[in-house]
Amino acid sequence: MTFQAFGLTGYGYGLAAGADALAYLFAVWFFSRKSHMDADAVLLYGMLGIPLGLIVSRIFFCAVNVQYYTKTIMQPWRMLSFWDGGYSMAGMLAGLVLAALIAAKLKKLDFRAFLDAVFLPAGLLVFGLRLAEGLTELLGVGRQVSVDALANSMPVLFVTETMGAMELHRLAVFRYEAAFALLVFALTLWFFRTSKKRQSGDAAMLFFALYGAGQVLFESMRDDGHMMLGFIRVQQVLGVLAPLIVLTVLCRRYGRRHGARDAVTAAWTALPVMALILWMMVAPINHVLDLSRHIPLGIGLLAALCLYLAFFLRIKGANLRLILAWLAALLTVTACVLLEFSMDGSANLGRDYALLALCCAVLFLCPCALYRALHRQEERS
Amino acid sequence: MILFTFYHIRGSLDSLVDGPPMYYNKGINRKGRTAMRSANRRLIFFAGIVVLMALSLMFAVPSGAVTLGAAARYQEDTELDLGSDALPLTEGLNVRYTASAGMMDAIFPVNNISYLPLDLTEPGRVPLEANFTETSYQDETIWVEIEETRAYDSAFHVAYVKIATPTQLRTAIAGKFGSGRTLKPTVFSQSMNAVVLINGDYYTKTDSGNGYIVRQGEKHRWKASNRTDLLLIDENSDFHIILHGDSKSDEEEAVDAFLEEHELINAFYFGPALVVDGELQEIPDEYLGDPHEDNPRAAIGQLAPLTYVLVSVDGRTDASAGITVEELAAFMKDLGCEQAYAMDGGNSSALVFHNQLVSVKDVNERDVSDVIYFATAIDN
Repeated sequence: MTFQAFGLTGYGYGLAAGADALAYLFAVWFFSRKSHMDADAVLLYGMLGIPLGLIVSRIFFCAVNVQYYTKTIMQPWRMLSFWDGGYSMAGMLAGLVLAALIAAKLKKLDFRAFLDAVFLPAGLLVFGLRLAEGLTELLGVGRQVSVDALANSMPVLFVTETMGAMELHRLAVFRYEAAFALLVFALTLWFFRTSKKRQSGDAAMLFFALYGAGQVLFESMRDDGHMMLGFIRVQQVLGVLAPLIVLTVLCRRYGRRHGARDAVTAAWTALPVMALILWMMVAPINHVLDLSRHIPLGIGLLAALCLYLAFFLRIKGANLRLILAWLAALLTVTACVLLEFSMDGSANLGRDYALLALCCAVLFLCPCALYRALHRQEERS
Repeated sequence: MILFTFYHIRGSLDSLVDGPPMYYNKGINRKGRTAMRSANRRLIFFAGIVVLMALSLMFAVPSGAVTLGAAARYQEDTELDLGSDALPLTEGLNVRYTASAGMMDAIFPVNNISYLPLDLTEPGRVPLEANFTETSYQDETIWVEIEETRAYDSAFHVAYVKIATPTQLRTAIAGKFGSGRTLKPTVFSQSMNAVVLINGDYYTKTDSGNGYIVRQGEKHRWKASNRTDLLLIDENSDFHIILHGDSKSDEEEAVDAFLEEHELINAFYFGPALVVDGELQEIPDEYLGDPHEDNPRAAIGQLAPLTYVLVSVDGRTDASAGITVEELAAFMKDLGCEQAYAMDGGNSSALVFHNQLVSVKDVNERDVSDVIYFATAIDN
């Protein structure tokens, strides 16, 4: 969708993004008043956040598509042509974290508290941006599904496209993501308002863990070829990393309290990876996850992991809860990988998406469970 | 809620313009109040800048993805040497019948066949339902027969096709170039009114990578490679295979030479070449797609003018292990192909006849980005 304004070509997506950014900044200011944050800090964050969000988002996109710019079209300078489109949502969020860090430093505020304030309404920002994807006709569209009856009764769930002599229904993933972003906002707000024992930065961590876990599912549904490195969906990988990073932070917090050593906990995480490698060597999961034709490579990987495990387990101090939390998280990630690779050619897409949604929920609950345990112990003490 | 928000906005605007309310100002001297007003003016100034920055996004951010217009412009700007006599690709089909025309009359003695449009989005004409049998279709403009055979411990599905006009060999992509869309081959078949269909090279899915990617005269990508053979289909729907050379310029020169004599309607970037001018080809060890492993395979070959063969080999099942590319090449040669070229194999390989998937897989039907199909030219 394009329009003319002031002699320039304007874009519906950009207009929606701009309006969304303003609404988001208003929400940041509105919610941050309770944290005694002045409007000055919010404005400074806005002045930094808009350009940094744009720049880092563009950098992420170009990093993933570097081959396109340098080899396919052989015009690397086109990476600077940001006005031609090409952005990443994960990059935008990274840019906002950077803006929050700089703004907090300049205003001499607690960074983690400021991060809480600016990411509390971030779900609203994502909500608007996801809806705006519907204006591009390129992004946020999922696989084609044959569900005519459902599409007629609930057209909002699908996007209709004409292909030759037929009308096809595709999953309107951008709408699902927008709805999920609202849910993320509601949960973060509820946590922010009700959790009395929370520390600075906890609300932001909740946002990232929940948003990241959701991305694992929604990126799998997409069929727009956006941010892909071969067959790997980069935003999905970043989505998996978000709850794992939150889990790492919580493990460190838990470890400090209990004197557990991070290294030992990390060492145990090699176990599910070893199990997966063994599985792929004996019975290939599919033609991609198949090490049966590369046995020496599998043995080499296993040997390397055994050395890693043996080295770290010499140090005492492993903590059972942390080991269990990591085992659950990594097994869930493994399940996500297996499900993702079986989506292509799945006999029952609905069932597989439901299973993936369940895995995403578990992935989110792993850090949540540890957080809960941590706070229960704090309450007791 | 609205009143509440309004109250806060008005309150904050008042404080921005006039400084804090009077009860706050008690005890603050004139100098202090002047400083506060100055701070508030500064706040309004910065707020204005933030609003301007946000609104400028409407001109700076067209989409989260590179727009299709920009991607097409980038391709146009890519340094190309198409040769001085290169024909424009976008000016429509200029059919120059050569050997095909004579063959056409011999095979299909009908008059006044109207050609199908070149347009990529235009489907073929609707085939006559009554003319389908379980393994064949025939009308005045197309003849298709499906045969199943076994070789190399694998199941082969072979479709022999004769068409009356070159325009009946068609290609289709899911969505637009660069949209990244995929579709099930059977859905392609239904929507494009295909009689028979085989998967393509899958390279229309992304913008990245090498290859000459042309579909129905529309150029998607134009980038030489020294690793991959090319299949070029001309205005007579005759196949021309260009083997990859030691350098990219070898492929560029070969394409330029082709364009001096022909119009390019479709170009594929997968391979390898299986049979070229009736000669069985040696398969390079390092070719893409594990050529020496047993896998499901797909290939297309030309037997004679307007006469083709589509082959899909089942694999990764107990009943059919799959074959190597060398075995596929030998099979295509045995069928009598003058030219034969491998398409995307593995889970992508699919042969569809009468809107039904003929090939068998260990997984459900996989969505693919592009297909080659044959349509009838009868006015039905």
